[in-house]
Amino acid sequence: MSPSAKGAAVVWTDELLRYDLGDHPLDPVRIELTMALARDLGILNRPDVTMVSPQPADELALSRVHRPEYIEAVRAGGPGYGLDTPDNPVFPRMHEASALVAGATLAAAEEVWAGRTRRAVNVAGGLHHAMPDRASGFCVYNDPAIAIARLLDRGVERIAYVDVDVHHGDGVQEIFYRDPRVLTVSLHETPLALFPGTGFPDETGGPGAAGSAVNVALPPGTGDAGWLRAFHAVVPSVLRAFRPHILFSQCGADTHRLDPLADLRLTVDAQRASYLAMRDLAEELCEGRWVVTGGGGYALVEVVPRAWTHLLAVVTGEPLDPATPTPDSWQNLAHRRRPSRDVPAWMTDRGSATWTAWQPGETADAVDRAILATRIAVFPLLGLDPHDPRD
Amino acid sequence: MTDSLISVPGLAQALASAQPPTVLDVRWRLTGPPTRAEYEAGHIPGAVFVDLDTDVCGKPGAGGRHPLPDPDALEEALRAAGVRQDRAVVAYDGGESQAAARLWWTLRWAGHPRVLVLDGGFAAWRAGKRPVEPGTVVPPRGDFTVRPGQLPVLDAADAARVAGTGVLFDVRIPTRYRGEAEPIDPVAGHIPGAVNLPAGELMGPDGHLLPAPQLRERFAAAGLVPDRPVGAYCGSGVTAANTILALTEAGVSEPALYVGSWSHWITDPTRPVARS
Repeated sequence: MSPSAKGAAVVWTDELLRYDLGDHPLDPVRIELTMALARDLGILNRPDVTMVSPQPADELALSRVHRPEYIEAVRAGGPGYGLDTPDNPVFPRMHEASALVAGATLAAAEEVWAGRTRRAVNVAGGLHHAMPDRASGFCVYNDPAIAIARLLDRGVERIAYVDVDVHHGDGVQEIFYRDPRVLTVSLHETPLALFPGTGFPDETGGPGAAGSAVNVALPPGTGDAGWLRAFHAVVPSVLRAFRPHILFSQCGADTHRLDPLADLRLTVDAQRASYLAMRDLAEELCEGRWVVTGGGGYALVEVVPRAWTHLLAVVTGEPLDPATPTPDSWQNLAHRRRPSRDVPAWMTDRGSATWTAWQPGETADAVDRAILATRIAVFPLLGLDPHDPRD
Repeated sequence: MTDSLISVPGLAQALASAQPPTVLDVRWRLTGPPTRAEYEAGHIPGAVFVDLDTDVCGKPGAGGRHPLPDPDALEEALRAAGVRQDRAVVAYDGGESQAAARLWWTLRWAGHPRVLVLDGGFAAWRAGKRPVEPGTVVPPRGDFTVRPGQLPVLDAADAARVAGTGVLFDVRIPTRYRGEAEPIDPVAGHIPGAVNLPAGELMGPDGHLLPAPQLRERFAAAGLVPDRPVGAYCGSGVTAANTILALTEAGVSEPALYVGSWSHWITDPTRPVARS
């Protein structure tokens, strides 16, 4: 791996908007509005930003993670393999569009691995539910896993995957469950309440990889302070114990209180704080190397464009002041795309993004019980003390 | 095409003619790095950069965030940009046709006989795979003489009157019109009697202004009545310039811009504010 560089790569082509499942919650307008907002705020024109145009992932890259018969089924447009279902409808040029999303995340990983840029982001990526042999949860090809597999093949010894999507990152966890070189960490709404029904604290890694999976299952209704407390009670400790060379973040924005498909209650301000925390961990542990994708997020106008514009700002340099107004030009575009939605006027929800550190012995709070369950399940496997708040 | 817009092929053709127009690059953003750097990185061949904030508008203050310019300062800026009396001017921005519309409006207000906005802006130019050039163009000095006041302008009292006797369009998004969210100005709401017609509704999915017949339908549906006064405002008179452009394209005579717009209306706390 090359020494880490300066600057950031933003992987983008309008062709990524063709991952379009039709009349479906995962509408590409959210990505279009994200890139428009970032552009109108000047983020894509910052110095040290490289725009990278991706190529589709080839058969070899896809088959590193997916079964050949599944790839064949995607090409053929189903049926079977989870395809042609309400969650994963067949759409025109499905294979080509899905391979391009994977290629974009691959390109991000390659930029960072080769040392061309310090960080790289593909907001169209993060399709973390796709399984080796089936589509699942709106996801056809598992682009994070494909990119992580590429980094392993390049010789990277340890990669940490942190997934802040409201849903469990089950596909990525499953694919690397027996691989001690990949630490998967997922914070999500409890599988008792939400798809995909996995991600319990006792899922801690398969044979030969004990402690390589970390799951924080949060109660419905968890807000900014509880979410950030859980993040800081688990993620820094397990990452420091694991000592990754590259940090990979899946940044689904569906933890937001306005998201129609889930029940957490975050603001964009806490989401922004989580991006800053992950950036700081990459700086502390990985010489800054940070590969970033989007993920879920179904408040198409109200949330996703702002959350990921904050993400693009954090990846490319200075974070945006939350008090920044959304530009009139973007407000007009958003209103034109979705006339019935309330277009946000600010980059903030006026969330405070403050939190208090987890302390042992406080088990009255459901978030604290979730934190403790995770720490008890996995901390000993990583040589950490579940009851010591310094760990 | 029309009297106020020029297409990408139309501009390419005009640039190759014996009398090429003066092309002005007025890409602009509310926040973020200065757009002059983007102009220097690549612009339409021969285009001269003008700064919306400092060249086209007056200083922010009691007149609002983008008030009318001082005529002498405007004349100097336009002459430095090579604007000539006998030569057509084409204005373009990134593609949203807001800053370009305000420059179009300002030039016409200043009495220029032939001003056009590049439909789709620089984004359309690039999408059309047309050539761009880097660097800064220093044009021969122009000879344009500013004769201010050639287009109708509303002050606060006029705006209130138009809202009563004709139709006054508030072209901001509905949440700002209703006063639920106001990101920039200290007071939220709208001028009593104003009708909400968000500027985005005057454009098609591709970001181009709708054709004139559809524009007429939109304006009529929003309450435009023939032979009654019509005006438009937004936050600071930039986005609403695009609405004036659309009204002009639709064949409406004498649409008036409240240049100070909401940022000016609220400078006097005794003016009424409607929220709904």
